[in-house]
Amino acid sequence: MVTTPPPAAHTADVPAGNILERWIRGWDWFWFHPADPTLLGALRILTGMIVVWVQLAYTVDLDALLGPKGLLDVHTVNEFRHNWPWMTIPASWESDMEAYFAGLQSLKPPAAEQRAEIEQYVRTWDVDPRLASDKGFPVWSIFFHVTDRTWIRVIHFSILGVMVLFTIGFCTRVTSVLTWMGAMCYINRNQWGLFGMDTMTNIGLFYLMIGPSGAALSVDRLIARYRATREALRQRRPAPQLGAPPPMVSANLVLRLMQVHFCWIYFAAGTSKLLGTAWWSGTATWGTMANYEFCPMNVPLYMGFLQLLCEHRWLWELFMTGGVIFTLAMELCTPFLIWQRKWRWIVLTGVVLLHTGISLFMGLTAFSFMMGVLAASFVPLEDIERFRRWLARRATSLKLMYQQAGAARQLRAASLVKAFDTFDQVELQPHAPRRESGEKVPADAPLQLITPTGEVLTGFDLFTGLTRWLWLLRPLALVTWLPGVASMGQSRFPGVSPVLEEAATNGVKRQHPEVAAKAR
Amino acid sequence: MMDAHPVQIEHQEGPLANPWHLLLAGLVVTGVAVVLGRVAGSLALGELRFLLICIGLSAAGWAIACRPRAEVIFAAVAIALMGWVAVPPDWDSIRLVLAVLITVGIFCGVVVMLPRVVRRVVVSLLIILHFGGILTAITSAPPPNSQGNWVINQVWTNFYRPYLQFTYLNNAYHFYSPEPGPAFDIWVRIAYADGSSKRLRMVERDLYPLRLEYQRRLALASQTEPRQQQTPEIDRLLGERQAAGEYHRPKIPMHRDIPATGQYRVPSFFVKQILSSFARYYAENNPHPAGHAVTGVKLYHVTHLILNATEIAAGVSPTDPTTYVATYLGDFDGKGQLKEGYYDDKGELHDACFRQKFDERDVLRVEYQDPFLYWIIPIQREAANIPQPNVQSGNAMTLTRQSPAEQRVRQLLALPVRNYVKIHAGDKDDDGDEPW
Repeated sequence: MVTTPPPAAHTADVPAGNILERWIRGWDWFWFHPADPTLLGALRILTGMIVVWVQLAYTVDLDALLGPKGLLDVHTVNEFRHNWPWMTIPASWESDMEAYFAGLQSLKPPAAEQRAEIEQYVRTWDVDPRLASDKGFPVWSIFFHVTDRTWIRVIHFSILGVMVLFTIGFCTRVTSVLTWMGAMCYINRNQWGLFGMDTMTNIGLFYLMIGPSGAALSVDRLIARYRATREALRQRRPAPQLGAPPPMVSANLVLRLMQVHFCWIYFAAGTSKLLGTAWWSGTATWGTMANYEFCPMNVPLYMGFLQLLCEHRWLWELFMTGGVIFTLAMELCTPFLIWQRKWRWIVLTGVVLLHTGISLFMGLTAFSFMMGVLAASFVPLEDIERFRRWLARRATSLKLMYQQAGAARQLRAASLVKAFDTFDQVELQPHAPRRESGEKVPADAPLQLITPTGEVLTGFDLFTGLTRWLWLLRPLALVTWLPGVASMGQSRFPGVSPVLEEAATNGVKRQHPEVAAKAR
Repeated sequence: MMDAHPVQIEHQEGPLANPWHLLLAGLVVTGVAVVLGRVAGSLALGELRFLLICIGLSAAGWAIACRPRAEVIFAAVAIALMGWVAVPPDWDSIRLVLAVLITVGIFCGVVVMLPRVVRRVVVSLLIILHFGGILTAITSAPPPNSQGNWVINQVWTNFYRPYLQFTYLNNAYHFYSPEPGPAFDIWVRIAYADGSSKRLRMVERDLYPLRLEYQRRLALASQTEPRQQQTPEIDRLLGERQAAGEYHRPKIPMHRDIPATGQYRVPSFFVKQILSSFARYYAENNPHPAGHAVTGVKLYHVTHLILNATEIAAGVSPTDPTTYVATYLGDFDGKGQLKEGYYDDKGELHDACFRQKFDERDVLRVEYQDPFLYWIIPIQREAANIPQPNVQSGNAMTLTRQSPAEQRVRQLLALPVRNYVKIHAGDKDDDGDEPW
């Protein structure tokens, strides 16, 4: 269904009221103001790429990390998730140990049938299970239950397939939920083999699942554009100018959730560092640069750099202190400054630099990339719109002529072109029943793409032309340059129109009649 | 070319847009899973039933995406309920997920029916609750040498824990704090019935083509760090350790650079279970080529110290053997249990690492503990006279190369290394330049 949106309300013009009213309006604007979902679509693609990579990495390690007899076998993991003891925090002033021993003394000797079970629990956990207020974790994973090697692989590749669909944005409302659930299966099964990257990808997937992450930059959007255009063409209406996706409240909500969570992460990371003496003495950066297991100390160039620093103390101290100050400044100031429009790009640049450093010095590339994705939730939407308009100004206008009557294939093809025409470059126009010369346009007149210079392209040349001019299809232009692709395409889709055939034999490049008429 | 007011399309999902067709498809597929469970037996064909449930729920979810109305949501909840019935009863975690989905679905169905303003109020409350949970996760991690806030711990334990653990949002984000620390490794020695052995390391960069695999093992090793333990028995344990070190051939001294009582480091109870799992894994995945049985798996937790600037300047290699500090974690049998050994006719205990039993008051007591168990086993340079730091000579702020500290390091580098970890494990310490 196609609708025309109402003009956007200027939300800054809110009437001043008492402080409670202002707070409520401010809260409402902050969380529930509609926003362009394009940024969310970009975040979906980036997060999806990381998640797919992480999944692929699991492929070579399935038995060791997910198998029933892996490094952390299913028996151990099940023991944790069923029996991990949680003790009540005493409500009085006694310590945990005092409360525990007091509780022990109050216990009656166990019944004979319970004794073996209690003793086994004590041997495993060193606490009496009768004193635990709760046991286990509410965690879940298909890999707790599936132990057959083949089925583990079937499930693994199924999840991988779903993640690919999520990344490209197909059936995103469903694949986003399935992707999060799939990722959680790995996280929960491998709980003690996780690190910061898993934490951040989970946060990203959790929020992307809530919001309309498939509303833009997605196959879903392409399909929706295709269907809208095809419906209009079938009903012999002009093809609609579809433009950017409509602003959505849920898109803004999710972006805000990501932004606030990102700020919490940075604030927690920064303030917790202040508990450490190495951060105060300015030497903490050394602990991240000289850690053999993380840093590229097996690379001679890197070791040479470290030695250069170590042989000149002033240089070492400046470098380390500078690193500490930069890290703390970023982590403590970002949560406040990033909300200020004039500081936004400066802070984002600092975040990128910080995580580039983490990636280079500590090898935590996937983690750094994911932090960058979360930080990207702060990219101003108006700057995205400005970039979109910049691209639109540089886009070439084209015209696509199609046969309206009885040519379902051409309608579909024209709709497909319009689906990829994200900047409304292509004007769809049905062939007129007769040409200027009066001759009837044949029923088999092909799809024709008319360039600004009047060149008429059909068949494979039409496709090549679209890849040159439509922004979304430009990456495919590389494919058309591959040896053999062009000749194969020409032989499969020759598509030369009777008009051009005459021009070709005469060696004259013929302009489209309309363009020629305008020139005259 | 871009219209000031572009025409907009309602967001529609995929090629199928009729929610009732999708719900019907979901119902049928999930119904097949239910029937399979009844026909084949409650525990049979679990994987197939699970896949069918996933497909059925996906169709139901798709229906909700097409038309997010209350009636569609409640119909999807009914399909989820069928899925709960279809899941094998011993797949408790999948039933947990479905139960949560059903609860969330019912809640969302009710919220969708509410007026817009009330919906926003409900969502606002959820946002506050959600970030309240994140805040408790961040602040419940105790500061160094402290217990953490009592109020936060109560709220986290009694209210937020299930939500945060279910969604894996329980991280405190204390990255590299309070201090960036060293990396850890697990060294493994597998002994076979024919007297041969094999040494392995869990964290070995060159072994894994993908960095992620390597980092996951780093994470696993870091979980097993034993902690210095305050115990009233430390003097007795220290005496036994020193006596055992003297009695061992060759002798195994204490680590020279760490205070004696600080060399006793005990893993927590959940770490002990992780170690058991490691032992089982290595025993199972490293069979002897000739089929000899695995008689024991020794594990060592290793801290790889970070070199300081003086050492780097003096040219010490980051993989110098003395940078590895190993704690002996036990000798395990093929089933991952610390060896309890056996008593001979004379009542002497052999081949034991750790035994415990309940006394007459039902208190678990240690009956026997290997004197080296949970003690640091050193790798260190040996000489009659180890050069000591001379704090009188040289200016600590000197900018010249070869400062007194560097000179001492270079003198140390010239001394031979004795790898007592290899000796303790049962091998020779001079069988290669690698620390393990």
